[in-house]
Amino acid sequence: MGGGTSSYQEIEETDCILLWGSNARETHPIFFHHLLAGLKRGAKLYAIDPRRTASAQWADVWAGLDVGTDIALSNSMAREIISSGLANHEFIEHATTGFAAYRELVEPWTLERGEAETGVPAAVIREMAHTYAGAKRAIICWTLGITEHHTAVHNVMALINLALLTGQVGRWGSGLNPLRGQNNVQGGGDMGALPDRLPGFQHVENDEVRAKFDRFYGVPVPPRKGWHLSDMFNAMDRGELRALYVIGENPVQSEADQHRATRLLEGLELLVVQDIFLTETAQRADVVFPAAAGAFESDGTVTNSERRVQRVRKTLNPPGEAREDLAIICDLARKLGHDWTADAETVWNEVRQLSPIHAGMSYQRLEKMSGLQWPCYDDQHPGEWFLHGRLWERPVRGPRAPFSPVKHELPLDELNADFPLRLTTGRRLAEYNTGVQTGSYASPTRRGETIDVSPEDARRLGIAEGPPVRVISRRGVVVAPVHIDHALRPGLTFMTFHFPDDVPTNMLTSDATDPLVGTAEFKATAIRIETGSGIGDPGSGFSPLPVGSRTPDPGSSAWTSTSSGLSPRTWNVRRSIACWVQPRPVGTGRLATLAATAAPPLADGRSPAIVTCYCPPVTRCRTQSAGSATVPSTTSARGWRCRPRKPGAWSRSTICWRPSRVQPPSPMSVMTSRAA
Amino acid sequence: MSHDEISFHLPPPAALIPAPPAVAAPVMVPLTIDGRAVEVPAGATLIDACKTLDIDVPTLCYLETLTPVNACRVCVVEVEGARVLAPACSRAVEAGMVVKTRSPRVDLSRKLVLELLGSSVDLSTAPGLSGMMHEYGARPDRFQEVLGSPSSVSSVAQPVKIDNHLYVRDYGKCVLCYKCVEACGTDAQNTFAIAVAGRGFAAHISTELDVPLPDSACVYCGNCIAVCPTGALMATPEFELRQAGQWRPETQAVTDTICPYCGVGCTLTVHVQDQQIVKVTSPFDNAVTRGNLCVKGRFGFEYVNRTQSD
Amino acid sequence: MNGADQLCRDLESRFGHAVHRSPCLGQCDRGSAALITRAGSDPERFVLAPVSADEVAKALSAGTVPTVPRVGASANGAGAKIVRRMNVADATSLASYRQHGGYQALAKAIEIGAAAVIAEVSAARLLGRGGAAFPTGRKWDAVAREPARPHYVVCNADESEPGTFKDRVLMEQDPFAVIEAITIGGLATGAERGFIYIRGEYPESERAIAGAIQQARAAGLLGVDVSGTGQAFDIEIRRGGGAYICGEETALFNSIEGKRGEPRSKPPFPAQFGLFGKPTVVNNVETLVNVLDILIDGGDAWSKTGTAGSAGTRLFCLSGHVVTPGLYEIECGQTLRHAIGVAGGIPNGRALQAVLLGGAAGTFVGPDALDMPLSFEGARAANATLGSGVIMVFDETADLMDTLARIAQFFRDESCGQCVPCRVGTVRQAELLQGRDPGSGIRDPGSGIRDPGSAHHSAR
Repeated sequence: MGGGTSSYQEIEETDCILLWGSNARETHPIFFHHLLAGLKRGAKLYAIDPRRTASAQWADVWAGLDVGTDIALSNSMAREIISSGLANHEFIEHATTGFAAYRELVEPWTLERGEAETGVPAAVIREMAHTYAGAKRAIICWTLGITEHHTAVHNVMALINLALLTGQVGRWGSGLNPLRGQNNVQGGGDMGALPDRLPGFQHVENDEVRAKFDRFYGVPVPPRKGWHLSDMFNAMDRGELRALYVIGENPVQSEADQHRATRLLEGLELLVVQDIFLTETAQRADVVFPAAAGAFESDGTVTNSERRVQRVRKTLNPPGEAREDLAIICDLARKLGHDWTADAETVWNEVRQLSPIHAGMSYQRLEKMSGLQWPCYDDQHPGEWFLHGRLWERPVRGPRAPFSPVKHELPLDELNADFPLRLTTGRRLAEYNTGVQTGSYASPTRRGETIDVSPEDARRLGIAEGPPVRVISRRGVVVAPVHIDHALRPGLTFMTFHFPDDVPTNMLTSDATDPLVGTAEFKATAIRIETGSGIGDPGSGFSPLPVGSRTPDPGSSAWTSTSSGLSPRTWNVRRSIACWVQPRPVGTGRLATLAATAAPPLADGRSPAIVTCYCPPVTRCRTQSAGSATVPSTTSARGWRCRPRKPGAWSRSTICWRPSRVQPPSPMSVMTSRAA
Repeated sequence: MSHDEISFHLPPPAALIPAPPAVAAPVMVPLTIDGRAVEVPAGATLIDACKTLDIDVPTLCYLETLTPVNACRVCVVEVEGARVLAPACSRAVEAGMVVKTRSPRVDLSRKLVLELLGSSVDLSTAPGLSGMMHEYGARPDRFQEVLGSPSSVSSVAQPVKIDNHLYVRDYGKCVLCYKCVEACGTDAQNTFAIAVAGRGFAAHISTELDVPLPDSACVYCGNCIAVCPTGALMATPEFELRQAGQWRPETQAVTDTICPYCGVGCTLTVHVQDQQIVKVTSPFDNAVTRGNLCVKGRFGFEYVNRTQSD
Repeated sequence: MNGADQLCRDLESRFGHAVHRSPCLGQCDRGSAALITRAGSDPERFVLAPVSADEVAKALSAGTVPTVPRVGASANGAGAKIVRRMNVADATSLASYRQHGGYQALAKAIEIGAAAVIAEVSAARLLGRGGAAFPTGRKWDAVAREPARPHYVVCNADESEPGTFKDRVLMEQDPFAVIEAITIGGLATGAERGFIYIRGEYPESERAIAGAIQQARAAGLLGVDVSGTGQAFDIEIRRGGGAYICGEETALFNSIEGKRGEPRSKPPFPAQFGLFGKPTVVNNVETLVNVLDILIDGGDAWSKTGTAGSAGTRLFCLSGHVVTPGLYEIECGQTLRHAIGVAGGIPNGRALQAVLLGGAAGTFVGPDALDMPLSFEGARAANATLGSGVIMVFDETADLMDTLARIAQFFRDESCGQCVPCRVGTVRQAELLQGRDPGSGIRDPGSGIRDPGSAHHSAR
């Protein structure tokens, strides 16, 4: 089961906190309140982050490691723990497997090698290892600093290994906690928005599980796992995925390597976008379904970072023709010939029947108990504060936990003489992702996008606070003003991705992805910074970068920029309040035809389309929702030769099919946000 | 992911449901309040003890989630044998205490506090204050009656501070309860953008060196607004609606939902008037937030409103 | 009473905005006073009293800190104990202090050990001289027993009660006694660090104490090994910022910690949760100095002076309409009439109108109280307080309403602003007092003054 193992309350009562690749002070402010309560009670905080973030300023020790050396640091800590006799051998023998291989792997990772590889002083590595292993209770928390690497899964495994090595998991105050970046990342995973999972983390290739779903819905569930996000983009590249249904995502601006993402999305035969905004992605869509704003205009549930399922309630009527996601999905199903009507509670009760860990969470109980933490197996079950307590039972209940020896690998976007600086990206307190939600309120702390550089680099490059510079990666160029940030070490630079209309940071980032789950390496881009007069002035010759264009060769006169990068962001994304179909050639697939013909055209030539879907209340995520559509083999209007869907290319859905009524949605499947 | 045993099969339910470690039962302390015997855990305050007996003690500067500063002295009660009245919000119970929550001395003290505040502070937006005034027979005007003119009665009246788009500070309504300072400080936010400055009647809430908020350490979480008992700190939408005479709380729909931003899962209590979100708060008894939010949760709802009016 | 208003007007006309009126400089024994700061990279601060505008100008232009005439301990006759070294020993010399019996008490303390020191102080029935009259032995004992470490000793030298100047005279004229007493307190209660919090308006006191600490350190009487005992103890000076409230012990802790000087809720008391949250002994200067004689005489013997309820002698600050204002050491239990007599009585044969006992926060008594014994129990019986030892005498010509209005103004300005009854109540009281017609009584039909007063009493 994928979720944070501890509760927020536990971090208030733990003794040691490793905050790894997370600036929770700014990105999870209210979680950080709990963490501060822990510090007040005497817990030690180690902030492991390339930047000396606002969170690191609260730490006993800031371990400023080089970007992408998390596994090296973890392995080095592990070796120190083992060689100092601090490993919890009783726990290891009792509850884990694979220790011998792990010990062998970390053996060469002496403190000295750790220091050489990570940049963290050996004494600091040693102190962290000793404090973590020696603490009565210890918690590791991480965020995207761990997962937005091409080694995302391995990074997480490296942290799990530390917990298994010391027995710091499965007990009150000891655990492993990914802090979720969006309000329902965890819920998306809960509901099976993962290529290999059905709701409740039940494996789709487990025959027994699948049989349960088959019986319940009266139709066979496809037996193999589907695509994750990066698979989908690769499938688009190969021409295998030609229709996409995007719910509550803005991949044009949030995907790494924006040129490629935009090209692929524009090359689709059919792009359907369901969103509350006419985002950059929606503006490229063939069909747009205006959606209700999840948190305020629809009913449902979301799951937070402590596995707490909580009710989202409708507080406002959606504007215009915007409708709740569930209503849209039901209507779509009806157009496809299936008689679906459902409200949020009915769908939730289906979840409860099929997902054992959610079975005890009736709306009534969720209401009464301010949410419940899964697993919650029945109506009497109080929910569980922490996971994996079973590892401490004698004998271990269920399978033992495996060590996963993982090797250190540097980021794929290598530094060299042409691209000597490391760019990492992240969030600021008052902003959120690509800014379509937060752009509308007047945050006094908003200062627009900047390229943050260390004072040392600024001196070396002869750049000052304010004037814009060119930031160049192997994939793109942007122009952004300089901000000198003392939290950065020499060689490290930082940008957000909150102001993509002004500075499209993801033109720079790498689309190198984790082969296991497809997470893109947003955190490690190789760049260089160039200065020159007139950069950023209108009419200075820096025209907007054509979408899809690449970094020109150095020295070429074709330098381009997408904007001045200087204007403070204004609210420029319109709410999507009417269904419409792009007045451009649309795909010829069944869905496209359906969408275009579903209702008479409006006076202005747009076609209101009525289509439906259910998903948990959505917010904009870095990843997108997507689905593949079966399209007849034909030539699309854009001249793409469409091939029949390959077996196995089916993406599983979060849709909870009503029993015995319908076929599973073979023409289209829907996927919401990944679990980070 | 590989088909390892753990990911392929759901692990079985734990034999023992994971829960916090058992704590020893607290020592119970017996005491008498208004002639009624009660036992409460050691360390509880008099106000906690009063609550178990459903005895209402008025408060202004007290809030469950904050450390008591006992500044307002509205909650004073009489403890037998003590020279002075005790602030119920902060005084810990002691075995055998005999407490009176109402007595001529208590009532006079409460009445005085209400009159002093009423004569020096604009309490027009302080909920519940007028009822309290009535109950204790407080007449804030009486100082003016004696002194002649309103100008001879010092007050904290001053222009409203409007220096950012998110909230206003109307210190003419400030009773100096310290709640905002505590919420900004060690009790919740730990930002320390504001503190009490000045002495005596000139004591006031101030940013560092009295700079405007945008120049201060403020991160606009608004947790100070949430705890303000008099409306001295007010989010801009509410302030503007009140200015326009259009603030109608009786018509507002108040609904709890979950914040649309990060994955912490903060409960938002959304106040909607005329299909517009006009205020966002969070319940103080919520285990995730304890009434606190960040700038996005408290102010970042404009994207929904924009389309409501567009 | 001694022309402060005229002095202020003279100074203001001469120096303009550089002059700030201060409610109190702790110089009631010598009349109109000025605290002068000579600005610069290394600013100098000094107090002149009594002073005229011309003298201020002269002092400002001079290159050095003017020497202050040593006034003070006006009666150190045969019965004098606390003040016996004043005007006798050289206050700037450790050797002179030793010649006059200095550091014998510390030697005795080291000889008998911490527990015995506390036993002697308890046996002496010494009560705190700062105003609250808490038994010092009990305080020390409570701190010594606290398991939490470290412990601290704090000497409260933030003497800010208008009318009080006894601690200033002690610090300026017998600084080594103060240092020795703090050291004994530290050794007895297991503290390794002591603080002396000196009122900001007392630059001379600060200089005297700093000099004494320096000499004591050099002589091994402070430091990592006090007098070869192997125990460490040292003293740091903290200077107040001019806030009356910082004389309150918990506000004083906050001030030392770098926080806003505001009282904390009690309980918990300083013996459990004091400076930096640790068990702390906090004593007034005079209280501490008494400990020296207690150790030398023995607690029982020392307690033979004074009355049953108030052992020992007390320093009284006589000011106002007396012939010789100053500091007088008087055995507890002597009458108020006696004290006024010691100061020469009321000048010009005028009749007594009232006496302000215990400072601005104290009590007015009339001529009927002249036979009141100056002891804690005597004062309590008369519904008065001795507070910090202020006896401010007003003859029949004094405008008591004006004095009351000044006192109200003082509290209006000096309230810390924390609690409503004081923050706003003092303002209303001051307004009602100042709004009266000259010569008339108080307009207080609605008990606008008495009610806040009772609320203060209920809240303190």
